[in-house]
Amino acid sequence: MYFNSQGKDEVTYDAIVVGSGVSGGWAVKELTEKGLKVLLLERGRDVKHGDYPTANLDTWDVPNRGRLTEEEWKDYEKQRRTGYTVSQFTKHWWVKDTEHPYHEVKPFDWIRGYHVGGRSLLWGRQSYRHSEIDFSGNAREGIAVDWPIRYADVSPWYDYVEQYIGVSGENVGHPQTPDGKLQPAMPLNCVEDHVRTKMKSAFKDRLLMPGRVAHITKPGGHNGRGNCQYRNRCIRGCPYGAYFSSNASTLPAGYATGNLTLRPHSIVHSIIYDNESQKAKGVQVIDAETNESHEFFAKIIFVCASALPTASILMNSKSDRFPDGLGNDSGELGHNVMDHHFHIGARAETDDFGDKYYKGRRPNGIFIPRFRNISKESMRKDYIRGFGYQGGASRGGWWKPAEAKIGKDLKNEMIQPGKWGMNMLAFGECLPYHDNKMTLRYDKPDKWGLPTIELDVEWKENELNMRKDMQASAVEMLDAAGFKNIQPYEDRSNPGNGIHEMGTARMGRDPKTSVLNKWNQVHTCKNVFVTDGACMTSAANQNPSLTYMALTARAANHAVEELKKLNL
Amino acid sequence: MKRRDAIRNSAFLVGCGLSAGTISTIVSGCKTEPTVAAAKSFLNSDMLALLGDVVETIIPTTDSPGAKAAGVHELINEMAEHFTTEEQGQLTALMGSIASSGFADKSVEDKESFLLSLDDVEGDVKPYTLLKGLTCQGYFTSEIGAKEALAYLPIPGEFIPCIPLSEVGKAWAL
Repeated sequence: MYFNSQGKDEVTYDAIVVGSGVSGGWAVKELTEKGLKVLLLERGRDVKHGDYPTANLDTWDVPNRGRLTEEEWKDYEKQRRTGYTVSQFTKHWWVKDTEHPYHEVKPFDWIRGYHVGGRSLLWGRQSYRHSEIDFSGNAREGIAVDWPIRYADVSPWYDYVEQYIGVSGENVGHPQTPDGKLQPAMPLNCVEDHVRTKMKSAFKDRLLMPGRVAHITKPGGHNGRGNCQYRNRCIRGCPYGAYFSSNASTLPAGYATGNLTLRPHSIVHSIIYDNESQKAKGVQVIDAETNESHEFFAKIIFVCASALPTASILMNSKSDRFPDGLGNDSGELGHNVMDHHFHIGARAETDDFGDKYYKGRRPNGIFIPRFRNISKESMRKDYIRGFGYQGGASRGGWWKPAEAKIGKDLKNEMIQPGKWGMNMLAFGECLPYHDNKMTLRYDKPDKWGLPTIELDVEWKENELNMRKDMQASAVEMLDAAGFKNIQPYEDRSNPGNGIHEMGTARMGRDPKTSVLNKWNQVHTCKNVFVTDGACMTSAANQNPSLTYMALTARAANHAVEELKKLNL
Repeated sequence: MKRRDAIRNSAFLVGCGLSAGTISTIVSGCKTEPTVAAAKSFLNSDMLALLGDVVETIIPTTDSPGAKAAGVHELINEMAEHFTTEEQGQLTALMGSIASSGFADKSVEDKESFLLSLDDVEGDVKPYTLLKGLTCQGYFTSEIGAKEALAYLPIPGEFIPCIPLSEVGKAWAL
């Protein structure tokens, strides 16, 4: 039953954007600034910039010193698996697994935030370009399908996005880490700087650099957003707007045009396909609060709901033309799920630099770009692709081990900083495998009657072989830098835990083997664009959000050009 | 996502070197928000006062207030309300044996050696080590611990990567 009391004109827009995270926010900004009337659909509640209730609270201001009680944890059984996401400071940002169930054939950690801004409020903010090595890898190695684009296609859009959002970092002139349009880097501390120097002499193909992070480090510009205050409380939302989020950046830009209408609590059920025009004509929405169905219409639709929900929406959009889901002639929709595998590396200590410290809590660390399978000398026999490291050096605080056991001696020891420690945490590329897939469980609907997602994803031989090197290389570098007490580690790393799920509606050259074309258009339904992680043809080893933003801006530009040419 | 915090978060559990596994056996016993149940008290007032004496022995007043002034005993009491029955039994038994030792009348040195001797038991649960972990964690996450014992700077405003330790003099609270 439909409850649209308005006339069709009132529910018709130029464009509909589904989802308000990094990708949806960029689609909104670009399309509204180009003059389109845009309806933004977000399944969660609205969050305006500044509406960050815990941003200035301390541990003693919240229950249980910030931890959830076991009773509270029952709602977050899967969100808990990262070990850091859910606390009294952040629990309002994460979905309750009890309300938003999914199913696992093999362990998969699906970590989600349903509200305006989505995970753009919660992300790690590390921002690296994918390089030519990444875009050409599948073709070179005969893996999956070729990306239909190359670095040169995206490079200007990376420039554009970096300058708009503010990315701090260092240009190093490495082919695997293309230079960007960057804000001043957050500097290395003295131990990290020492490691950088040692690595330079020990390994000519390896480099340690400050992480590139989407924070403003130079005051001025960016539509009044402030620069980083080094509080490192980013995950609670930044009152200064110093890191990029949709809430602080792209959505205000959309509102400023007067062309943006937001409809929160709007769960997209499906895309409505029109046989006659062979295009999508709109979307069907379930109001999360009233359970009523609504239809909204537009010339173009950007699906940016994040990789798994985006694929779910397309799969649930069945028609005579697309009985297996919109645009799914290839059978690849919902397949090729990728993430980054990590939770492996090494940490170590040094007795040196005991008289040195730092001021400020840098919300960032180090980055060691990929150095494997790039040159003839760096080719591996046991795996393809590669990995990078993040981490950094810091001194222990009150949580450090103590020698003294009790009383004055214990207290005096604890209020001094501990030894310097250095952590190298590896992030490895995962290949696209057709077998790694999501399916829809119509027999287990959610409370809105929508099918739920079941995940069947695992790391395979290439990833597992790579992991051995990810750990061994960290040990090797820490050893070369003169550290002691080097401790290799490996913790559980389920797919999904990287929170970089992607690949479920991949781009490609051939509609028979891919879902999207080189402009992120559904091959066979060209007014539907998918520009979130679903579009990724390979994962590379870098954090992917910057690439989603660049591809979104590029696709939005193309969409408007095509509209002008009356091609859509 | 903030993976560097994940590392630190697990270290967060290691108050004064207590392993994450042991402290979580107590902390994970919490069933509801402490604030909800704060009106009730797990320990009676005598036992609560004794626990104040215990935590003050572990982290005493020096040039900054100690664990008692920071209310660490009250925090543990609130948390205990939500321990499992087994953990509550352990805490009650522990407090009973501390009380029957005539703890309150001992000298500081004797209080310290008595508390340390609590760990002279078989098995994985070392009572003093648990008390020490809870006390350290409670103290350094309290307003007094953070602001008066450690160096507290909620809004640094800048990042200076390398300064002499003498400029700060102690560990940052945050």
